[in-house]
Amino acid sequence: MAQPLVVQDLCKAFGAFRAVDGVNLEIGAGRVHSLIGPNGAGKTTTFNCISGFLRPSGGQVLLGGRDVTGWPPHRLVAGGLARTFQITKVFGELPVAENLALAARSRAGLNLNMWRRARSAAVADRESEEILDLVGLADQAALRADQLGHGDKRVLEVAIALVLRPTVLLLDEPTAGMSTAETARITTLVRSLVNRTSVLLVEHDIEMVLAISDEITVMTRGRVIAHGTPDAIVRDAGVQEAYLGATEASFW
Amino acid sequence: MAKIVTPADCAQVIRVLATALLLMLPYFVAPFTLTLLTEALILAIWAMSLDVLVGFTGLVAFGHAAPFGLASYAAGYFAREVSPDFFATLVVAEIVVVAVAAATGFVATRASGVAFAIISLAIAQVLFQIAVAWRPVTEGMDGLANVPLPRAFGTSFGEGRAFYVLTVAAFVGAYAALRRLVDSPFGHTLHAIRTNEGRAAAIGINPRLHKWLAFVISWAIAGLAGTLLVFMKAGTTPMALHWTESGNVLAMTIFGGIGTLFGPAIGAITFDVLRDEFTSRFQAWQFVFGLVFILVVLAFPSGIAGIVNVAWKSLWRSRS
Amino acid sequence: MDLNFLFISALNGVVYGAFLLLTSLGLSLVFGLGRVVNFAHGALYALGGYALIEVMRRTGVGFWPAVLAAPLLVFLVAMAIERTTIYPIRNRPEIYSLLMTFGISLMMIGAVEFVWGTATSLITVPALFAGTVDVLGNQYPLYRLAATTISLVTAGGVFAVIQLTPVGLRIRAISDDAEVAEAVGIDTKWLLTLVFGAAAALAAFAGALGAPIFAIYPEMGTNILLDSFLAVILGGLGDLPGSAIGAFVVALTKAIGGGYIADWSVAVLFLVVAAVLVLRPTGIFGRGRIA
Repeated sequence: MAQPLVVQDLCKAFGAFRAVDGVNLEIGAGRVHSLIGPNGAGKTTTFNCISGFLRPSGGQVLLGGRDVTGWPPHRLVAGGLARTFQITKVFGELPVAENLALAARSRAGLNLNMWRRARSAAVADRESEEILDLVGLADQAALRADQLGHGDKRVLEVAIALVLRPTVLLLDEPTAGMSTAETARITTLVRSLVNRTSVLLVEHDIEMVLAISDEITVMTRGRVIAHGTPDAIVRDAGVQEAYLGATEASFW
Repeated sequence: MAKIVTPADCAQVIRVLATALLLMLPYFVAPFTLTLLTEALILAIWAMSLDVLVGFTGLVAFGHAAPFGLASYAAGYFAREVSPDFFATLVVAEIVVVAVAAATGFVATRASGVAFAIISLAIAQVLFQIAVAWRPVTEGMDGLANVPLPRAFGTSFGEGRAFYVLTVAAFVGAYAALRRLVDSPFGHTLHAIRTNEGRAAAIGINPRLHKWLAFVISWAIAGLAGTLLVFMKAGTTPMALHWTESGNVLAMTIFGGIGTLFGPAIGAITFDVLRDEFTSRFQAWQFVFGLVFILVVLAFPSGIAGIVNVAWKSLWRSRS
Repeated sequence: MDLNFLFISALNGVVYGAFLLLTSLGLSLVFGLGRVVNFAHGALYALGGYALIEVMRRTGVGFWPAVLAAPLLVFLVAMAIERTTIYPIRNRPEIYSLLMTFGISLMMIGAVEFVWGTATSLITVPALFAGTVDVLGNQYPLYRLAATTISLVTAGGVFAVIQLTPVGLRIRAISDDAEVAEAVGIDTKWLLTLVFGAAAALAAFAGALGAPIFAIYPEMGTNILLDSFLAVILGGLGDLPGSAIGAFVVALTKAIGGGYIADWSVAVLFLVVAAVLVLRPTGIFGRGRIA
């Protein structure tokens, strides 16, 4: 049975600058895999290449064994991949429930349906409600998405991705800008997804990463410098150097 | 047990009443007013078609005279040279419009924002140039004339009242179809694309395909309006494709309130009636119109429909 | 192939190009600086021509003083327009500036028709450059050559200001990155108003200077507006040298193509521009901004 996500020798160059230089990743079913590294390591670029927002210069992305390299985002969704964004991208003008219903209808293949009444697509309501309960946003279903607090918006992002029932879920810095309480909430949520989907996340919050990951990949300057379980990574000398060195530099 | 009246029920009743009123008007008004109303309803269809693009998909088209004028030419030419049968003419005009829309829309919808607006304008300009230059078919600046009266169901539709009823039927049909469209899942995806295109792609919506479809549908409905107009005016000229016409329909739509369908319809009717009033009195119609347009853009971006919506909502809030 | 005909067509193209250059530079500057797409640019060009007529009629001065006074008047009018209608919507999406300036152009053309009527006015060529000159065996109007030279010199002056003066430096800074420019303390607000006025003055100058060649009528701005848009898109929005080249490409295509394939030349031009917008939204040279 093919792995949910395999990335082979992924490269992305912007002119002469190699942002991603031969990255390899493998994520097993139901596993949480984290991608960490100092700023500018190429994590988000890797993410964007996998999720169709950038076209890779080289390498392959295999989703459930299928070669999806260079597929546009909407096609990847059909293939079972969903993502959240570092800078929150929700449908601000629309109610929270509608944000999810849109995703649910999309998943149900209704996107080109021009004659049914969207509101009567019961499948959308059922699935949305279930996910809203799961993430704890059921009370705010009727609010406009841009009226939510920052933490709730990030949770909504995850919820939208979940409605798509992905086999692989990409989370781009899910705890960015969050308080400790909100971070804990996301951590619990991601842990609970183990049976639904495989997760690849990019994060800066090392504590959180160590707490929830099954595997960690460390990147710097476009390359993978270490890969392994949280314990192994913590003890890895190369990682310590990259991080200590990098955090000192990025501090100034 | 009494049935609770919802806002949706109320809206439906209003629609039915409005349709009945429209149909009864010929018995109350003067023939000249009837002609004006016929024209106003045709413009309303045209404006609603633009709303699909502007209000629902977020693509501001600066060249929406293109499908309107193109349909007029195609329909007028067919009616004069082949057969004035209304439905046959409509089918032919629609085939032409949809074909051109499919081809040009493929290019146009690869852009958005200002770029799309300019490409849209460019398409209309090219058609304008063709209308002026292709004299054998379009008769140049003189335009097509002597387009015969439309025929349908065995009779001629020359008499004002009969053509008016035909137009009302077209208007109601177009409104119903577009209403269905924007309430459908597809319609909602357009709204999603307008709100946040990246997000829409990330939930599985194909933005380019949907924008292209919206473009073609918008042109098709505009084609209906253009076909009606060429029969009403018994002809057309290249001026129907002029950029000022595109500007007019855009202004009507914005003035009426984009994203509502009924807004642009009201905007178009108001525009036509006001234009008729003003040009017979003021020479400065364009000046006044431009001024009103600016004020609407500045202060009332939601247009007339916005005001109506606010009133509607407060009415229902005070009842519950 | 009648070489002489081609030569004269090309020469006419250069003449038109010089005027188109002035309007295109203005359009490009305003977009690069304030992300404003000025649909009223053509109306401002027309206003220049009408201001010329009014100044000459009311004050009795000759052509040359009027040609300098007209742009000044339009400069003031344009600044007022910018403050009252464009400044308030500066934070809305760019499409709003296109809509707003469209409304302004309607108002301006309506006002022009109302005040001066719809008839065409002809301006006699000023005595200084009257008559024709022999150009490769053809009798060519001297004024056209003179006006072209003046336009080119003016355009050169604009480039000099942008490249060499402190004001020009500020303009380039804001065009590059408005946020950073403000953070560094450049007063973008008034500079935008000023540049908008200056661009309008350039257009008005072109309208006035070109009056003896192209005549004055309410719709005179329409064609040059569309041509300016084409030129600026070809060259890349906000890219001044690109816009300059774009202006001559458009003018020469119209002049030479117009001689051979008549009305179709404009159609071809529009198709080319649509292609550029889609395939290379930053303009042929790739240095402009994406529309």
